[in-house]
Amino acid sequence: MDYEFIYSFKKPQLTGNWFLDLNPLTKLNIVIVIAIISILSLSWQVSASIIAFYFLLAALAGCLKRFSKMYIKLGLLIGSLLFIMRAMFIPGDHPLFTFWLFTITQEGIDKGIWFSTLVVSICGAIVLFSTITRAKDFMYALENLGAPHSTSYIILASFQSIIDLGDRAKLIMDSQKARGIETEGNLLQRIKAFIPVMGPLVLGAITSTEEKAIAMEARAFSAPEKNTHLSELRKVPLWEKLFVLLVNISLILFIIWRFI
Amino acid sequence: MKGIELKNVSYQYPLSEAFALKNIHYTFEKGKFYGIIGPNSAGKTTLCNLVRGLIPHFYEGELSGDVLIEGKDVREWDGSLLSTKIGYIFQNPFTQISGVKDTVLEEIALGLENLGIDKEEMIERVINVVKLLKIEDLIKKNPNNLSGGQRQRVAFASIIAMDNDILVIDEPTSQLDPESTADIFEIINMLKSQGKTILLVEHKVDLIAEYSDEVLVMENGHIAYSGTPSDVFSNIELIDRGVAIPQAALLSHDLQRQNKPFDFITITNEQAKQQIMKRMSCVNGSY
Amino acid sequence: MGAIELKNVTFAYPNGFIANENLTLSINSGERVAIVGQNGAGKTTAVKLMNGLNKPTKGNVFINGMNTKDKTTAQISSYVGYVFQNPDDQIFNSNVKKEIEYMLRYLKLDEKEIERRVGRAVELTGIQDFLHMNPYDVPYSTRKFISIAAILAIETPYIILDEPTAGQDMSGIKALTTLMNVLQDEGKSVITITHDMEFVSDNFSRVVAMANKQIIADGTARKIFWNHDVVKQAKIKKPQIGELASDLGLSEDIILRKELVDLLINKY
Repeated sequence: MDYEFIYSFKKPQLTGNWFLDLNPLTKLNIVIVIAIISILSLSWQVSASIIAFYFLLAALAGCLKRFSKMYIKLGLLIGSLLFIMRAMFIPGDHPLFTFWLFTITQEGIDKGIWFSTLVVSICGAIVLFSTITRAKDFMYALENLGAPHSTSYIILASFQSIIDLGDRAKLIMDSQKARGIETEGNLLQRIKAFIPVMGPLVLGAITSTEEKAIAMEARAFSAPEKNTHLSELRKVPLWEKLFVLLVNISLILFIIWRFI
Repeated sequence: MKGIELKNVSYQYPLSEAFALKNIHYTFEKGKFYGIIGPNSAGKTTLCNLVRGLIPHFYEGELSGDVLIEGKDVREWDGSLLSTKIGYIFQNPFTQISGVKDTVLEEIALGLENLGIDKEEMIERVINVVKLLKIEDLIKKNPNNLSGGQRQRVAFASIIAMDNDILVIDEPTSQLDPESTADIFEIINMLKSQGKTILLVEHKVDLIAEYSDEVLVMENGHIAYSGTPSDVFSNIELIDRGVAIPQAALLSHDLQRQNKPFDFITITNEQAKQQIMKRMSCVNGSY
Repeated sequence: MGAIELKNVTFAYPNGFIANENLTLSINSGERVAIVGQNGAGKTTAVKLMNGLNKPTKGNVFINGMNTKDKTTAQISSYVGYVFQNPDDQIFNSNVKKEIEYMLRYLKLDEKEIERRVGRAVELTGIQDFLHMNPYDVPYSTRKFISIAAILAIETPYIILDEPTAGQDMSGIKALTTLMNVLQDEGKSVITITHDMEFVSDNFSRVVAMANKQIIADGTARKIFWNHDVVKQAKIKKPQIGELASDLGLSEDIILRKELVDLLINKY
């Protein structure tokens, strides 16, 4: 038996990466501060620098690959969509060129760049946080703050049930295909093929929710005792507290510098 | 000693006119292994739900008669306390995994976390149950990626770790292959030897005949027959009523019909083997 | 050439995981075949190759001579009916009769034909009493028969049943036996995945044993169950009577109760 693995639960499970090992709430604090700076700066240059900064932070946490994979795709999609919408529709006094019904103005371009970098930078905060924080650690941290045990269970279980639901949808799709329902072809055919999937999927989800409730009850889910935890978070060290303080003070200084 | 007493218990599920259980009168004694068999929809799972306290704490509906768990009426029990008293394992290996833990080790510890067991003891108990069920090779794996048989073993481990006195087990092997089924029966037999009270619903009557102390045959919501496996399975009426009986008993009945009976109705392969060997040695001896 | 023909078929999932390796198997019209083996041995992926849900990564699968690679699953479904292990993955209508009729209406058959086919499927599966109920108000074991009826109504020459005995009681297993006999009399092939060894020895002359993604043996039930290596490798079990005969050191290759009874009557 792998006792080393078992006994690793006796201590907080640290990765050895100082940034990754920060308390989930510390990380949350940091990304929120970054997002606020991006919002208040009203400057695309700041937002763009922040976007670049995320990659640095992700690299620091050793998650650059995972982060980039998700963020670049999402960022390009949202960023370009928002930019095009703004650029096309915002009127201004400095038209650059006209095509079909649209006149593209300098103002539209400027606002488009500003808005899309802003939104992409806010998205980045969320993506970065979810990349560097395990959901269960975050829930545990919230529980420590007094959030009810059942809430964190439901949130965590929802993540898994989305995966399960996807797997089951595929299985049901297969079973409908196997009985002869054509799932490939034009849009109408696809929509028609989709109906048979929804019924079993929803009903299955309901039954499995009931069964899961019974199964969790059997695991003393609603026992009156205050529950304990096998894996725990590190007690926040003094330097980390100071670090959070520093981050928050910089935010305040930034606000003062920017607005007063 | 009395573990669970049922006195004239009847029950209807909400919105259902039919009785799921009718006039059940039975006492489950501590430390015994009860095999519950019978056709589908005869009320086996409902009986489990009742004994487990899910009726009336989870399912509403009409419950009459008395259900006494360790002498105290089930209605007076706190539903959550019952789960610390009575463990429950059922068919579906997929819904019994919490879905919130990344490793089997943490999955097994979940019940103990809920019971507020301190960490040192928790680790101790998880280690013991992992050894007991021989699932050392699973502890680091993600429970959401296991096979049905593996999940079912983890479900057993998770419940056994909570150290309940009574275990209600509803068709644990119906979705498993022969090898995983044998593993599960080995686990159940070990629990029996630890003195646990076990109520097992199972279609595999050959295994029920081999392991249980008492057999209950359910039919249309009531207990049609009960007694030791020999008493119950030697009754040929069962077949006509759509209840499977062990192959060894069928063999016995066949021989009886052809006027070459065994000394008694055998219900396990071991008994049949002894009887046949006896007969073979007689024949061989006469040569 | 067999009606269903797998030729050196390897199947890998898109992520590269190989589920079946070099399967060669030929099943004739009217044949009844049980596929046995441990969970994860590749039984389900193998039957999914037969109805086109899985397309071979290497090798070819032919149904009545046509290559499954050239057809969609829906097209193959009029030749090969496949009843999934879990009926809840299949049933979606709010009424049993509608569920059975669904594909027939989808195929635009006329009313009279629909009525005939539904009547026959219902009779074969014995679900007359449930016809006007919601499938989700009937027990799981009955739902399984509803899902079988819905496939039977399509009247395909080949039918695959995935774990039909799971959760069935004695009467359910008896109904399955009768059903398979009728199908065989009609010249249809039935391919069944099962863990129930008594069911196999009672009902199947041909058994295909799978282990570790491959077919390791293909032969009569007697030959498979009395081949110690195959039983061990496929992690199956002899049926109870076979086990007993083996414990007694009887060399007669017994797998059925009747055989043991006859032996005991005649010899001992």
